[in-house]
Amino acid sequence: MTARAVARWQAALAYAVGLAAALGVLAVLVVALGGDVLAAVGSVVRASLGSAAGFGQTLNKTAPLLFGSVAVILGLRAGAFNIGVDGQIYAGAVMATGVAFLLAGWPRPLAVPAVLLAGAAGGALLGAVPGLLRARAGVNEIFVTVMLNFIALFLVEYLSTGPWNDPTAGEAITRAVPPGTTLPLLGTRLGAHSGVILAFAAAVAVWWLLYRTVFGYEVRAVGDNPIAARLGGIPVGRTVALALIGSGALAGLGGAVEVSGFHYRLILGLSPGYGVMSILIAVLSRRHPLVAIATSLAFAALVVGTDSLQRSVGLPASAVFVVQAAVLLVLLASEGLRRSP
Amino acid sequence: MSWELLLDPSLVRLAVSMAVPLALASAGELLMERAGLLNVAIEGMVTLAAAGAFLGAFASGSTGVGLLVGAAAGAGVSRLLAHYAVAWRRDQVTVGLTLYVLCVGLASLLYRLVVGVRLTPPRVETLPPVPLPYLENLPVVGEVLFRQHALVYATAAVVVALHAFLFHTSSGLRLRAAGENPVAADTVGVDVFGLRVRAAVAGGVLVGLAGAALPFTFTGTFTEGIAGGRGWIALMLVIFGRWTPLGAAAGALLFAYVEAFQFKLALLSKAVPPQFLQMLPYAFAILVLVRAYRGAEAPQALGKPYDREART
Amino acid sequence: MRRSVAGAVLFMVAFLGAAGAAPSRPRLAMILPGVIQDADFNAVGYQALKEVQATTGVQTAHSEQVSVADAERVAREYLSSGYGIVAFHGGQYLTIVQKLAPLFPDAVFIMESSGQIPGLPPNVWNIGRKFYEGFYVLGVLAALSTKTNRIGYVAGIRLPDFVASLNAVFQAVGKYNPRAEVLYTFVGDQNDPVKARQAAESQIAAGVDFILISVNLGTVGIIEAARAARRPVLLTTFYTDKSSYAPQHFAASLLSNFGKPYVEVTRQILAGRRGGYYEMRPGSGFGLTPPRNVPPEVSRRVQQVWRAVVLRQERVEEITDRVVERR
Repeated sequence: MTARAVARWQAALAYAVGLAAALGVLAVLVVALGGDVLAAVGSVVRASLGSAAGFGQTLNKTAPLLFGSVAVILGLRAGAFNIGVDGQIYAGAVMATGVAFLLAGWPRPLAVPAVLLAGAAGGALLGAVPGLLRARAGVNEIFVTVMLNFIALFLVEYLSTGPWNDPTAGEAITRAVPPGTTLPLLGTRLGAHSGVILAFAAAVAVWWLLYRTVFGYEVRAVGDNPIAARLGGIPVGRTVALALIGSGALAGLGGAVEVSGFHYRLILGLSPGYGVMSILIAVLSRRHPLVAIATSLAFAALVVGTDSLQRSVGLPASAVFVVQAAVLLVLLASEGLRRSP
Repeated sequence: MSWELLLDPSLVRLAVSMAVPLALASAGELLMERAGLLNVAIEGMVTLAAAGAFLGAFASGSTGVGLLVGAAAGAGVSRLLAHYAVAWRRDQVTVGLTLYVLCVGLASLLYRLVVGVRLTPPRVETLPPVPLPYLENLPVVGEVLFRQHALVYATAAVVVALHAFLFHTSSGLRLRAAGENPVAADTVGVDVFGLRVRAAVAGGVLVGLAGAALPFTFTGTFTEGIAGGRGWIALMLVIFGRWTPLGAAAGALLFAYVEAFQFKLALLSKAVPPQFLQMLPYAFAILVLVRAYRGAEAPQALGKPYDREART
Repeated sequence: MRRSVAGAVLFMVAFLGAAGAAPSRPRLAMILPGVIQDADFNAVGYQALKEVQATTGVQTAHSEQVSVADAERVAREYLSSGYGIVAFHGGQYLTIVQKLAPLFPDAVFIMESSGQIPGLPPNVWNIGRKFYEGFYVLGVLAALSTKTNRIGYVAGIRLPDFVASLNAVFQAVGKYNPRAEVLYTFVGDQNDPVKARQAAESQIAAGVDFILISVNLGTVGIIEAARAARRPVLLTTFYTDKSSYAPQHFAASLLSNFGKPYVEVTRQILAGRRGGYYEMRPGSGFGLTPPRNVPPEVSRRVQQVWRAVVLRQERVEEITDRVVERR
């Protein structure tokens, strides 16, 4: 066995031990809160992967997480930390909804791409602000993207309760987008929409961009060592700005997919913390867009599966968060123990 | 717009007390970042500390115990973060965000376990104003600055002391060295690991106190989502203040002031939809940063685990 | 090894599937937007659920803190594990009900909204909540109690329900104390006590001595603002009675008893009526705590107005799309 194969086995073993320990944590929490462990494990599996309907919901949850994490990865590869995925998802959703309202009556093959493009443009617009500020004035992009998250949220609140509000809902929800502007479903039994395929395609496209194009080479060069990149004649500022704009466009596309694939409306609360999860997934995937596909799926399964514990064993929502975090912490610890001397 | 409106004493007084949690949390974060630890769990830590402080005071009947529990909660979480980041060299962002989720869940779970589901929830006493002798009678400033609750004065003292510690003591220099260039610091005998862990605990105490300030000065109780993004704002204020305690505290004051001012503006004019007024503090923060940002740099080794074997 | 694990999982899935097979009585699941220990909107929803279980014998379950983005998934999970009735506590789930009801014609859905909605599927019960009629009476209380002739109204998100409630307050003040002025603030968040406190402090600084609270968890911040104020400030709140927080500051609470509509609707479903409309309004799901900290004649007058609103002798206009300030 080669050293590399040994290392791989060790890694697999560490993950297995970590998963077992995570299950142990889950069991302890469930017992402590007075639930049935077997029912809990069964429900986690069945809700996430063990049934067609469950798997469909996992796929639906994967779409925004994959768009978001690939967006974060594109930024990270250029050395820029995009914490603004939430805001960009909302910006994309706003543009997609607005354009969808304008395209009532258009044939679907024209309307849907236009709506998705509008979403990407909305996200790109929000990504351009930190991109240009960083390139032109050296302003920290983390700061700007976080502030824009808050601003985008207020914009969505304004639109969803004001000019676009659906008066029958009585909530921060807009009118439905015209039927011809929505993404098709992948079969009714599965209940998943076709947006997840777009997300997979986006991940592959970003991989291709990063590893098969000159721009991607420049992005990676800038991210790895900006000084060397500058000496090598790469326009560092422009590259970072373009990466952040692309990053915003990916997140914005994710927002458009949520509107035209899932909700058919703009809703305040469309992104329940997808930004944070996207960052987690991006870093856990070691900034690789293809790995992010698997990580996003695993994450979606974890969220969907553990969320069912409320229904099956009556855990409070807060305990579900604790379970999710505990699973990750135990996995991180098992990796850490393996690596520490 | 007249100066009278901008410098209304009641407005400034409110802004000063609103700035306390922001300033304390950003001071704690800054201390950790200066040592090379990026703490993105901060929003969760503020939430958990708020719950811990309230529950501690509720169970014991003493605000002091509550403050201690809040500080301990902050310190405990950042100690855990430091263990993952320093001893196990895990990625700080991953661990931090995971701890954020853990803290938010734990805060709510603890409240549920201790208080339970009731229609009339308990309340604890908030901190009373403590007028400072002589100073309170100064015109204008007396009212605005010196008739505040004790945490306002404590925060001011902490910020000044932290600034002095970081930039005017040799221990502060060693701490900054651990964050700027751990390899060089290690070579001259600085205990990088130990320093980072100690900075994490001390920073966690400050973040915990920021969390405790929420129930003890604003609400008298813990409510779901009480942090309301103020942890993230504190993280931003560190950048805004260019990694100096005085700068971050000034940012906290400015942010709190614009937020309070926006509510005053909302009462005066109904021409602008309220959501656009609510954007003001955030848009204003970006604008100020663009104007003020000249070559401010994060600590060089921020967020990077230090590995003695892997010297480059 | 791998095969046996897969086998065990399959067995477990089959076993659980069998366990979830349809019982004779339908089971009811409730989806709530926040945590049930909030002593507010979600707590009263949970209380209603317990009441349904106690009075009708229907087995219940709930999922709390379900965002709109997740509610469809959670509802589908309940439906596929054999729950025959799915209730959504909150108006933000309307679109999900409209989407799911035709897909699951055998199930019954319960939803909440601001009133009657045309074209709902036949297997949907809609509970319309007329908060604004209750706020009208709170507005009368404020109009008759204010000494500074400045009344505050603090809400979070600019939802149509809250706009209607604010307009009802304007109507009440216009009728019962035309000299009084209403200052209102939308703070952008129903549950941020710090922002709510800032808004309340600005209002108090502007001379307000009576605040009508229309935020949820933000309420505690407003209570603290009232306690810290130098002159007496009176408050009203809704959903639950929060006077224990500050007995000297509460004038009244508009109580919501969701148990009433939920028990009634569940009985109707068990009797075979699979859809319909139930209106929650003063006297039917909404109650008023006896006014306190106000002169007895004010209290009497307010209770008179309450009865008149209950009997629809005193009409309140519902305006949801714009703020109509009548001076």
